[in-house]
Amino acid sequence: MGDILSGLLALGDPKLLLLIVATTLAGTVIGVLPGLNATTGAALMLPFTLTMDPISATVVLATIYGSATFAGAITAILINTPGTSASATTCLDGYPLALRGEAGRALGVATIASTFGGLVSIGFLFVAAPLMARLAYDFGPPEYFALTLFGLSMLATIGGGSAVRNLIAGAFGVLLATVGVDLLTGVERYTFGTHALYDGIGFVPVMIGIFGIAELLRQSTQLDQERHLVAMSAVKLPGWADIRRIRTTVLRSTGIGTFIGVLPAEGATIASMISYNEARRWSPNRDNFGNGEIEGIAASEAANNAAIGGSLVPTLALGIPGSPTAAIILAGLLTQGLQPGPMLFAEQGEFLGVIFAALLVANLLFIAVGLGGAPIFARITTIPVRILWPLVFLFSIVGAYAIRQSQVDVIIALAFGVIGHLMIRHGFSVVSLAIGLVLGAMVEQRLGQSVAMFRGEWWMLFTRPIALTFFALTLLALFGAQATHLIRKITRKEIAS
Amino acid sequence: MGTRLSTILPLIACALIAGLAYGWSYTFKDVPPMLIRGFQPGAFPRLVAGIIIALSLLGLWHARHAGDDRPDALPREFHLSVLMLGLFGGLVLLGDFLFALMIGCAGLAWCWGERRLPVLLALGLVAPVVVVLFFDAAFQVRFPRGFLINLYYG
Repeated sequence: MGDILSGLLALGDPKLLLLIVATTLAGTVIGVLPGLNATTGAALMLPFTLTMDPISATVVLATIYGSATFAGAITAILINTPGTSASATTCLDGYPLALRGEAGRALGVATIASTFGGLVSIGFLFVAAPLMARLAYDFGPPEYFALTLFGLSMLATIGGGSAVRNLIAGAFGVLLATVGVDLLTGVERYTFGTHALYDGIGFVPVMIGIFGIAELLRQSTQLDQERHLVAMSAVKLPGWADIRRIRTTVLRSTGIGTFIGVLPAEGATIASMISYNEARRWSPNRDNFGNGEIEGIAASEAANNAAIGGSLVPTLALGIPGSPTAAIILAGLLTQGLQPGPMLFAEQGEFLGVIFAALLVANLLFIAVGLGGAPIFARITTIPVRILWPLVFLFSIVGAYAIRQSQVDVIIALAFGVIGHLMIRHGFSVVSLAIGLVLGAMVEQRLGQSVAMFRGEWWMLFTRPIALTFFALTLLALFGAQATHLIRKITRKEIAS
Repeated sequence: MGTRLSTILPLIACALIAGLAYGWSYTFKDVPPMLIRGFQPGAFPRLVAGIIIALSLLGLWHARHAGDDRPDALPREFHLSVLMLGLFGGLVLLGDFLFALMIGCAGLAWCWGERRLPVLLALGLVAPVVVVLFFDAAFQVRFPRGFLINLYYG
């Protein structure tokens, strides 16, 4: 309670309040712009945040995350193009409703559901993150290693792509993290004698490359895409009849979103998809889904915003990103020299309180932005991509350069832009690469510490109960689906015989 | 490219890159046992590269019955954009950072079909100058010297 109070008191600082309002508006613009989403937005903002103190930097990235995710609904409803992938299911019912002249009602439902989901999940973040961090007090290097390995194994389930390709991308991320001078031994690894690589490959240029430049290249392949803005009357709050209709769905979807968010690497997109399917399964109006059912909009929007608070729980408490955007927030923390975990809360007492208060304000601002600003923000979507993306390119390149003031970082961003595009084209997840890169150094360091702790007898890792639990979860994440499939096959054969 | 080939080539490329990384790791210096914190500096990269090779082989095994997943052909604008990125990279290293930004921004817009002179001037002249001056003033970012940047730094 004291932390909440200190967080709210920190909002008395007009600079911080202004920062939250500005980043909420910036995040909303990012969310409605074609091709930009919360992850790309956070990657582009990362260089700016490194000039701030760690708390302000985290507040900026978390607010961008929340507002860009929320804003995805505006374009999903008005132009049938999800501003972010997390709003893809919002299109299914939002756009048909808008075509019927009820865009205002659809946006009202989306705003209320998003705000509710967001508020509940940040409450959960505030309660769960310190508890999870307290559990981590008992963790030694073997437990942290097993936990990080579990986080990496969850990459197999990212997106809809092949598990093997996702894992390969994640492993390449880990391999990239080994580039540079090994801090423990001073030995150069994969530097090829280039002085600029002694400190390793920076998170920021890689993130800007695989999320910003790669998206620019993707945009160049769909220049003929037309966007039509639906005419709309004023956005209005849902009436009691609508609220009664969506309340169960919003509650269920908020729960699903928060839970999915907590799982390592899974984010708002999966949360909204699962929630949408569950809403359709349980709804008495299931036949109306896909034709403008407000429960569909509520399910998708409550879940994707709830996933934000959920995903920040493992990110801040354990240093395991709960979503792609959380991986960028984690990269920001690490670049600032902060190590997420129990010590973060101990050393930065007001950290969680300020983030809680900032997200609270941002979520309340969504109501004003959603109800008052949606028609204005929707107009931004009509900016031609041939003007928008050169500007994104400009900020990406200057941002990549600014961190270390190194031309090599610019080349790294360009190279990873092309690599990222090739990866996406061939079914490899760039999110896996990013998470692998962020977790790579941790996994090596913790494995090294564990092996040193056991004097080279690495199999002792399996004698620690908590570590063993995480190893079991890792196996489950990697082989659970195949094992279930095999058991079903055997059972069916037995029944048939 | 045949359909099977388009599926397996990326995996073969992954295995080859990982193989190179695996081999290269043997060039890392070993440290005396008393300095080792767990394992030699080359051991972890070898482990990860080995995992990538194994996963790539697993992917190839899965791909033996692969169907048609050949990606769509890329349009002309994509190739022009990649060329523009290459030109930009060359100008950053060999020319002037601000000039490279000007060419990069205006060039991309041109490649994507923008032909209006005022827009091209805004993107290729005004925007890069404003952004560079902003980063210099607000974040004390010092840009590498070149014939245009020198006009500002003196």
